[in-house]
Amino acid sequence: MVSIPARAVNLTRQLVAITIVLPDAEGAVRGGELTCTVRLQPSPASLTYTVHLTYRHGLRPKVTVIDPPVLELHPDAEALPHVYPGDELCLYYPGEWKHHMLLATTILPWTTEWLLHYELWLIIGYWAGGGDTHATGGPVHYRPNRGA
Amino acid sequence: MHTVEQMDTMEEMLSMLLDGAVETLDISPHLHRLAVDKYEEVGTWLAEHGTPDWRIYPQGSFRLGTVVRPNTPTGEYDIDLVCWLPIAKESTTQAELKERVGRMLHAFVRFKHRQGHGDGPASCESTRRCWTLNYPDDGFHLDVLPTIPDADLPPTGILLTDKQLRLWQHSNPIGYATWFQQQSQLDRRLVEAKRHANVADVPDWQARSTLQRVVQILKWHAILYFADDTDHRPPSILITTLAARAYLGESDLFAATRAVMDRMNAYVENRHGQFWVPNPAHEDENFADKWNEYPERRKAFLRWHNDLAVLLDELVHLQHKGLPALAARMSESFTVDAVQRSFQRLAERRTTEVKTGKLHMATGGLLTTTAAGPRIPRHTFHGQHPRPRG
Repeated sequence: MVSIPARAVNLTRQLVAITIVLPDAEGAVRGGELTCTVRLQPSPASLTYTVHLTYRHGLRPKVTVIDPPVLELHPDAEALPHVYPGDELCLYYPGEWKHHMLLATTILPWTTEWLLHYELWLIIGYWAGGGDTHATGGPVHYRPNRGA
Repeated sequence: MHTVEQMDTMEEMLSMLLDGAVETLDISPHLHRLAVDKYEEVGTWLAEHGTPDWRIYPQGSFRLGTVVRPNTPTGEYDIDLVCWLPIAKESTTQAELKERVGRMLHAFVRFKHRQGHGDGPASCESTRRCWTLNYPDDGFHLDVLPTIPDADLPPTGILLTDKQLRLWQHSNPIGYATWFQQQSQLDRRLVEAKRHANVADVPDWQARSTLQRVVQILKWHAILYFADDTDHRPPSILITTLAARAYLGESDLFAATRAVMDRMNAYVENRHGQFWVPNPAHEDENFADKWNEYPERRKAFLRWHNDLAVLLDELVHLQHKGLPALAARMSESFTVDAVQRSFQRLAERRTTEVKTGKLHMATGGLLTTTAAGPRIPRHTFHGQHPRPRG
């Protein structure tokens, strides 16, 4: 039996916290997994993005944009910046997010910030949101930061 | 004062983006200082070489703080100066006045050349009623306009020659600048900021007023709109005067620009069948006099005014359409580079705000520095897609 690491925030509490910050969030906790859909508009001129979040204790929270279904690329780019395979948003450096933190006050604000910088990237052609990048040559190996 | 601190609404966002764009076309503080040094050097030299009572001072957009870089191949700034000689109009002619100033300026250029420091004007050329001192390496030239006192309008009224060097024309650039500054100060926030901050020693260019920025936006749009038809471009002084008359003290740049656009045409008077936009510092001078001679210039003005008003409306309606759509529309009507740099500045600003803990997420995911939603914790965007998307 997998034990839930100590101090992890209960998934229902995570969802409640999300709906406090984003009242129109729709989500559920089933079979040890939190799934949630939120709509985010990072600036008044920005598109409203529909974002899907899934999270299971022991794994990293997984964030993808589901609407628009395909995120456009800058004409000079071959891939989105700051994503994992499958265009899963890459929001923090391993270790920066820990499971005692609320998704509502970390992952979701980082997502809306990612979306703002994504739109700006389409215009200016470089990522101005800071952060570092993996080497682009090989596959990305990510080890969930268990119990950190 | 146009301090853009928040962008929670579309209007605030447009204010920030337009401000950031027009700032890149404004004269830089460094160049401003250099230009002042250069004309003060001319003034000092004149005083030390036999004409101690001549005065050299700025006029026009440099004095008003409404400079916009011209879209000429060199992008050189024109800096307009008055050279004032305290002599009566009865004791000189227009041609003689111009020659007299020209002799002294040529002597100054020779003096600087002999000094050999390489910091003097490259040349002094006659351009219609002015003398132009060229500083090509510095990116500007000084247009020196010979003038004498206007006995009918002391102390700041001046007389200058017409383009044919035949008649005297009245002008009052100091009086005009005083009026323009008073209009700027209809914005109470500007007055408050000056009272509280220690800005007595801060030169004007470090904090442009909302009105200065409005005028820069209008001039910038007109420069590009009439890029291939400069004869029909409305004179800067006409745009500036109508805008300043129409300004009622709005602090927000975008709101002020729209309000000014809505009202400015109402300040074109009809005096005995003539279109008339009086110089606020000299009622008899009509900034719209050419409209009576060339009706197509007025039509061109109205067409430009309408198109800019439509553009401003369109920008507001790009709410929710995505920043790239907004950038594309702005770039169609304004300089692409300036728009790009403004978006870069926005991106850098937001990044700094996260680092300093000032950015929050409000309802709907809006990033804001004002609302009380969760603060964005510091973090590092990580990772890049390993393979191009196929």
